[in-house]
Amino acid sequence: MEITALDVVDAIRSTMDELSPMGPDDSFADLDIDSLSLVEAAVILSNKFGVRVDEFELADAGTARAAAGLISGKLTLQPVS
Amino acid sequence: MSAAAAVVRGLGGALPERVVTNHHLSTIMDTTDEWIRRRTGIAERRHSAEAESTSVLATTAARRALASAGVNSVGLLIVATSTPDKVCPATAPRVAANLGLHGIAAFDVSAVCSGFVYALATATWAIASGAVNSALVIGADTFTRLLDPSDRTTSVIFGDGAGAAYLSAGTVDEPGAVLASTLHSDGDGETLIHVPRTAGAFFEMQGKEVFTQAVSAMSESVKTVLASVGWEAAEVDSLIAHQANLRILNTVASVTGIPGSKAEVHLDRVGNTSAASIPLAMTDAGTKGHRSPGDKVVLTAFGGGTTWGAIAMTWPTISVVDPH
Repeated sequence: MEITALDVVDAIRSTMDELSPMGPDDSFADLDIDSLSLVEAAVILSNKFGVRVDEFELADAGTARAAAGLISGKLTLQPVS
Repeated sequence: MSAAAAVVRGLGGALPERVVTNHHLSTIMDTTDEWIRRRTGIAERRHSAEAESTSVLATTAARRALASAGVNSVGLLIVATSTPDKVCPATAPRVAANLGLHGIAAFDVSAVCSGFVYALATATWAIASGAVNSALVIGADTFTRLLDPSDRTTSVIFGDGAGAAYLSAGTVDEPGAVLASTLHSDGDGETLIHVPRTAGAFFEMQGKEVFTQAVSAMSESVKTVLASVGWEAAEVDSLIAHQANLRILNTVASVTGIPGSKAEVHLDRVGNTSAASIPLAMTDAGTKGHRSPGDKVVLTAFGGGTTWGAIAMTWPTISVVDPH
């Protein structure tokens, strides 16, 4: 399953008011967010896409587009049920 | 004839006198009101004085729950606490004796922030089995006594307090009926939330990992009890989740599909009161008067252990005293 940058942006925007202006290529580090925001985003994305995503992985990814690639990669590694 | 159920018929809360505001904390440690509100949603909390021990707060909350139900005796008393007056013996017999209830079954449940959900489920089983006809379930903690006063990550979060519910045998159709429960634990997470066993050790919590696990565990538990009773997330009238952090409450609502506006918020005025948080939030909802008898209510908690669970019930026909 291919996750697009927009899927990630939509999932995060829908639940986190402070991230609603976020675009697919905006750097997480440049947004006005605190470290807990990435934890929340990680929880939301984990539940939305069914793979565990940790906040440090989001921090490393840096943008929604890179996070989408990360999640897509995790999904392809999952055994097909 | 309707099926038998344990029915909540009384609620009560108790808070220490001393209010500690974010502003006060900002004068004694490196923090600000804005930082605390943004990270936690908490504006103020209560700190117990020496005389306001766990048993004293529990007794006051219990008296108010009994008065709310219009009764003065009970067959079983459970205190959910991880800050008992003494390591040994349990606090529950002291509370029972304070209430004049000598001779009844009384014991403590230690499940940290999940304690009230654990104790309420236990009381429900006891009533359902026919072993007792009524029970008092009290969540009471004086967590501020476990904290490192210089640790700004825990000092801003926790407060002290107690909340109590009175239940007795009835039917599933009655407002206040407990309809489903689910309880879980995983001891591999014991160091996420703990007081190390070394002299002079303070309470420690791994905040980020707790946040992640708390949201997942509470959300799964909520889904489990919703499936048990056949409710859709959208028809839940009130989500009363452990009041740890406003952002956890919002994320649990988001993940479960329960509208965020249905999440009861009481932590702004009391912080995280551990086992007391759910019964205090229930009492607060009762005093605000925005709940109606029969409303669909889901309780959920996550705490040290780790432990977690959820309960589905309907809102009781009650009047409660404002503990503030």
